[in-house]
Amino acid sequence: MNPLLSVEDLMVEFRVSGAIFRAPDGVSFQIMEDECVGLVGESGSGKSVTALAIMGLVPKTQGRIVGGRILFEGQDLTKIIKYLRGTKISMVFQNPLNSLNPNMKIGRQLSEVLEQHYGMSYADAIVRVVEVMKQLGIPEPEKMVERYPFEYSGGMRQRAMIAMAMLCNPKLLIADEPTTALDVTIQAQIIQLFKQLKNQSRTSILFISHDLSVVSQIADRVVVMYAGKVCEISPVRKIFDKPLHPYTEGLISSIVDMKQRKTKLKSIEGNVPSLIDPPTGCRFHPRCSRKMQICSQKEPGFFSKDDRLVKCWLYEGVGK
Amino acid sequence: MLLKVENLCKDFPVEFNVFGKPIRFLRAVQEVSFEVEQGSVFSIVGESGSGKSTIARVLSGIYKPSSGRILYRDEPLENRKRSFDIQMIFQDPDSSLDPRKTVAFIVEEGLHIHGIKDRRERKELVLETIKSVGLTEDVLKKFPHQLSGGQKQRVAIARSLVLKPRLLILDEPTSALDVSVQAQILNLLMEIREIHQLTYILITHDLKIVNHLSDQIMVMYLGQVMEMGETEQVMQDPLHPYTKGLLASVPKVDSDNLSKFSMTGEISSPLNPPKGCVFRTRCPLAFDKCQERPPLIVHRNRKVRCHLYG
Repeated sequence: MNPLLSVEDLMVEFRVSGAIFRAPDGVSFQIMEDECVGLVGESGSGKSVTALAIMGLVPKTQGRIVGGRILFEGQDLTKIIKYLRGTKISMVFQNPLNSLNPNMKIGRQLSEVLEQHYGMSYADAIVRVVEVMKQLGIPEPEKMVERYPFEYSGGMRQRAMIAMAMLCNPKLLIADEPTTALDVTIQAQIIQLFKQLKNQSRTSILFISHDLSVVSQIADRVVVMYAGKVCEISPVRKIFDKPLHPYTEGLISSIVDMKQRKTKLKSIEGNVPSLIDPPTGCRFHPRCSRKMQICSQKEPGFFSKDDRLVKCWLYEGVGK
Repeated sequence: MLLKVENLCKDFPVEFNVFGKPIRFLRAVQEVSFEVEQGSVFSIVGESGSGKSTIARVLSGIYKPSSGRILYRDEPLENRKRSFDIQMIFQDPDSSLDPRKTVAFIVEEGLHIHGIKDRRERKELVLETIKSVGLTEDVLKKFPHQLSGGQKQRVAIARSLVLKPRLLILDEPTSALDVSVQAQILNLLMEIREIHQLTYILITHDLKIVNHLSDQIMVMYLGQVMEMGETEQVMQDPLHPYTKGLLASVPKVDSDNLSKFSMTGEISSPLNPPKGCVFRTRCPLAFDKCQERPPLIVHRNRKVRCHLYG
């Protein structure tokens, strides 16, 4: 199978009040056709910026792509002039209330996408909008298009955002923490909706979340990021059965287990490091429970083990 | 009994007539009664709009109840002036810590307000508390923006703890934190509870945390209690369809559990709640009788508001 998207050694540099930092810093991964990849990491790991770079939305005033390539169907997105945003690649953001225009009716906002990209008239576009909204489980879409975002409930707003992203049948849908702002029951509904999308359409999904248990529900493969770097890439089941990287292991064990009560939780000591002055060598070594001498001196490369990749000195020489 | 709440109601006016008199109310909390035992962890769960945070704010004295009684150690809560005993920890330390004040000031301020005059005593207490929440002395001179999310939440905990409270109200204490830090803060909360013999009221939508920490659970929907009982019992064998739905929505890593999910729709507006049972519009088991409001009945050692068990 050919990769639909291939991110190679991506580096984005930011300048914030004199300080320079990179996140992501040399990130590589691939998304196959018809595949759902989960991108997991804590805040500051560079997962959202990776998504923005793929979308061509890195804010020009502060950041720029300083290295690497993003290949989408063979084209380098970092150099492309007419961008594929909206038609081939689209994105769903975390908080729908911040990304919808409060002064515009939902129908108007959604049909605008089709008017812009395909030059459709409003009358034609709204038919398609209603159809997509219906597919995504918005009740009475004919009436709902005449309403404003504030008249929608939280879950419906997120459905409308997903409808907007799916209007042009994109090849790749990027969802950046699409369920974080929602209640658990609504989160479960939206996850179901993504599963349905994955099964019914030929769209590949890049699902970004800090919550491994959410990702485990829909992703085929998981990319774990820490402090601007990828630390592990693995099929989803395997990562939960046996995490390779100590960070992944820590993340999984800090998920509260429903079966155990009142025990001390396992946690990762310390805090996420500042990217302005990142630790030398492996970026996780100050918090790692299994660190060795080499970890603080030299950054590990990727070691492969079966169909998994891990960036940790513990696996040097394994699988060669 | 440390805290006893009887028939607590809280209404918010939403519409006024020309003379400024409220004519329409939003009923955020309706006839809620519960008891919290000394040394236990009592948790209140529900979706946003269920009234759980309103209860927290009434208990901590931010809101006045519209009706009902709150007895703290057998004394009405409103009789107590400036109480040290009940303290609250908020969800997001970014918005609950003053960005212009140093950590030392933030933690010390409560002592000042509560009348500890001796400066040296205050300083000592602050230092002791800061250490007990796992921070070092050097954070005292820092401002909140210089700290990480976990450290900020530790400062928020220290600020409450310095007053030596008996009852801590935790309003979503970890939901603004990163996963790896969440576990640290939960461990800390369990630790200080044991050391200081605290009682917790935990408000959260995260059932995993509730299951881990709490002794008693109260499930709320649209301002009303749906189910209440021992956490372990409720988690293992939920009675109310809403509790069942909530539990089914928790994503778990070891199984594909969400496909069995059966709760549809969203919480109704509290301005216009359904007649009869408030949950009936989303309930997969709703039947004719649900048009009437079910009473809160005792069934198998717990309280449940559902006609199925009538």
